[in-house]
Amino acid sequence: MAAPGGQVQAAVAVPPGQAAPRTDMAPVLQQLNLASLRTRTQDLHNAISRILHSFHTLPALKWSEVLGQFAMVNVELLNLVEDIKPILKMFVVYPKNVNAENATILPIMLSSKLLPEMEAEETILKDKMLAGIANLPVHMQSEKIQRQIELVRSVCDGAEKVLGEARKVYGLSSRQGPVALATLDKQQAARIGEQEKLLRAASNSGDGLRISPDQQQAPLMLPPHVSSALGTSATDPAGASFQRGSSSALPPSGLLRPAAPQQQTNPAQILQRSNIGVSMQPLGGAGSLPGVAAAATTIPYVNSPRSVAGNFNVPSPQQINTPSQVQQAALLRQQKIQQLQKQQQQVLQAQQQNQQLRRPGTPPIPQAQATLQPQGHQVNILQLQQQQAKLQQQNQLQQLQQQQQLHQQQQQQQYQQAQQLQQQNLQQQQQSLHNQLQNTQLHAAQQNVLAQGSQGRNQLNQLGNMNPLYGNNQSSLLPPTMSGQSQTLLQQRYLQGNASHLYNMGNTTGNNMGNTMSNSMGNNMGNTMSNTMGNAMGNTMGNTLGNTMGNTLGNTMGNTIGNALGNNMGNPLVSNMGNSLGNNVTNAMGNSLGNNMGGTLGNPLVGNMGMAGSAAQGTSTLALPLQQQLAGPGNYSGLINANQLNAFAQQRQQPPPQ
Amino acid sequence: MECVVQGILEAKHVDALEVLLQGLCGGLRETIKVHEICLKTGPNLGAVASEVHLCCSLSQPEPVWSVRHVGGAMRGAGAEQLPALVRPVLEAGISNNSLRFMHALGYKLDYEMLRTGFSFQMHKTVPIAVTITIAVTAIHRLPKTHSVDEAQPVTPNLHMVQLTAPASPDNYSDVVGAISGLAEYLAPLVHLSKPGVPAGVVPTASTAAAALISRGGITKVL
Repeated sequence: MAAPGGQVQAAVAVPPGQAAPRTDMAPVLQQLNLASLRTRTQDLHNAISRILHSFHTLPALKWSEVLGQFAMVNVELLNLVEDIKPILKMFVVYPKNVNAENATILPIMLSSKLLPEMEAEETILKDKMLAGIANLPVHMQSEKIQRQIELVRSVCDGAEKVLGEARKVYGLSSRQGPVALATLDKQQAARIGEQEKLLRAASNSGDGLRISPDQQQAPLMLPPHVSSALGTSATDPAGASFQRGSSSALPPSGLLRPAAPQQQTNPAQILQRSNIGVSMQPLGGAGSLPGVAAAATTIPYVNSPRSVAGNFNVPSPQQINTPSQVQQAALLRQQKIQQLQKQQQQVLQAQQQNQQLRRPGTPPIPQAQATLQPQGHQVNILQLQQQQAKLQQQNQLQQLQQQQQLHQQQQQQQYQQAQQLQQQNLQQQQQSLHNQLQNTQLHAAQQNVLAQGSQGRNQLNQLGNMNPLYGNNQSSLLPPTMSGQSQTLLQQRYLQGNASHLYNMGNTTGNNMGNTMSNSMGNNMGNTMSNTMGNAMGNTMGNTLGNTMGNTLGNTMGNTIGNALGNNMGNPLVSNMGNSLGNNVTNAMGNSLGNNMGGTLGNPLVGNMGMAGSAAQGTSTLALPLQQQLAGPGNYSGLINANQLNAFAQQRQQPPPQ
Repeated sequence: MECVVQGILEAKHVDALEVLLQGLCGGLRETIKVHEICLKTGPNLGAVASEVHLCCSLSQPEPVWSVRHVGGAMRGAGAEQLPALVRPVLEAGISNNSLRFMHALGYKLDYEMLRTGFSFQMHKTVPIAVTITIAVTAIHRLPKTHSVDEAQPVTPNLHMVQLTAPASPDNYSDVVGAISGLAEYLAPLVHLSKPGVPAGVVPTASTAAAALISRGGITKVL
């Protein structure tokens, strides 16, 4: 071993640099940069020794720093080895002491030759081990060595166990720990997957949230936000406005027939709203047009942010249950109407001569009346005629007064007195009408009226316009411009009874949408519903009525519906929602009003609209009795007076006095 | 239009997610309590059924109503490669008579639910300036109509995590990129995917939650 060791040493211990480059190979010569190799190995050796020194001295070493330094050293070492490999083939081991016995085992010896330091260590260790038993025979020595090996092995195993337990106790588990926890139990994963499907389906498409109609239970108490949204009291979840599933189908002729007894007040409210809406019509000329805008801005809707509590602190029809309350409400409205009368009269006086009253060429009412069935419906006409006579007298009186240009205060006083008288008379008449009016017959009359043609529609419009003005004060506060139309229009109004009938007539024209609307109305969805219907009918009839009404009502919903129903029956909501819901209603209204009215709206729009609006409030008194009329069963006793009927017809056929 | 991704989270990790979101988004936590009523048109209104969501936010003293129409998702090869769903959405505030109005129009109640939880908003500037809303909610069903007080959770142990961001037709790809960037931050706790694609839970969520809860000395701001 020693002989070849010497030569091998020279070859192996190349780095310490006993370099003897003996090569003739030019390309390899460049790689034989032994000097640089030497310096590099020297640097590496210094670095390692420095690191070892820092391990021993520095108290706080971070693994990151150590690893970084190790990485540097490792890379350097690897580079060195890579550079040496091609050079090594230039060196050979030349064994010197080769004889017959060494020749065969020499390669093995060369390949397993240790470095000198390693050899020295090995000899020292061997001497230690065999110190006590060197003198014994060989098998004894091997036995003893075996026992020592076994002892060491047992100690090592014990130490490993202790270490493992310590790791578990202190949570210092090996790297294999988290890997085992990361995989969920399959059953648990499946369970979570199912729940995920449930949750996603419920959130995105409502699966699992739908309740079949037979399982639907109405809660005892509606939450406050829903109750206010539905317009019912919190303890009345079964109200007619609480819709789920198919809404009850009302007969097309149904005039706001309340679906449930407790909803009687709602039709009144609806009627009131429709009256207000009708008042938006051009009130017989430019003078009355201004009334549209003011009413639109002052419609008091309970929940709408547009509702202004200022001018219309009138108890809603729902609260008006006794005649005394009705009178009180009427008085309030009268006072407000008086305030607005000043403005209106000033404007109307200026425009009186220039007005072109709508002249119904052929009043449809007499024709309709002629076709009426000879039943109690005409009883209504009788009483309406009586009212009409009184109103005509009052109208003439108004004209005289205005021509004389009496003082406005005196006029108002007279108006007020007459107004109170008329109102009392009207109330009495309305109460008597309550038991005699039938919905279907009225509807038939209205239907015939509708069929008359555009003129008829105009008259109806005017009728609707007249309605609010007359409703409260029995025309004593009528502007003089209205007097010219008073005769025919009054007849129309009382005949028709309520502006809502206009829209109900529209329903029978065979429009499915109209039926839907009437159904909705029948369910008493509230004020907006009358507006809705009006708009729908107006659009479907190709008339500006609906559009105007819906707009002037100052309700975003009205606009939306008017647009939607008129434009697209299929999917109105999507196309128009974005526009209509976010609109500034005032602007929309103003624009649509100007457009729909053909530009006839003048500047005094706002002022007179207020009047009309306030006048419209007065229609609640009219509306309520009528609603009562509608609710009650018809009880006509066949009081048909042909003479009276003819007389009425003759009067209607006369052109309205100028 | 909006870009949306959804994921599920176990109820026990919701606090950890809240801590994470508070750190990411800056701290304005908004409580969500929304009564969502989904209305659908009946057969008498047009050939195609129209669906509308009325949302009443009950987290404020005064209920705030809004209406929302969700359109169909964008389709196409390009859309399928996107990690988020892009769909048109119309939303608007509405007055509280909207329910009656919808009933009058012919919309019938299809289903309703109650969402409770919280949401954060994150303002990203890369790759595009966009505000992403992260909502963590529990979905409850209402056994009786409109009975918000008797709501029962659909999945008691799972909450829904939803990321939404407004987009327009010309920048939706950047918005999707922003959403996926934020989703990476939330990856230790929740896997996010398109609304119709199930993603499962994150197996190591417990570890991440433990780290967040122990590290986070942030007190919960209610």
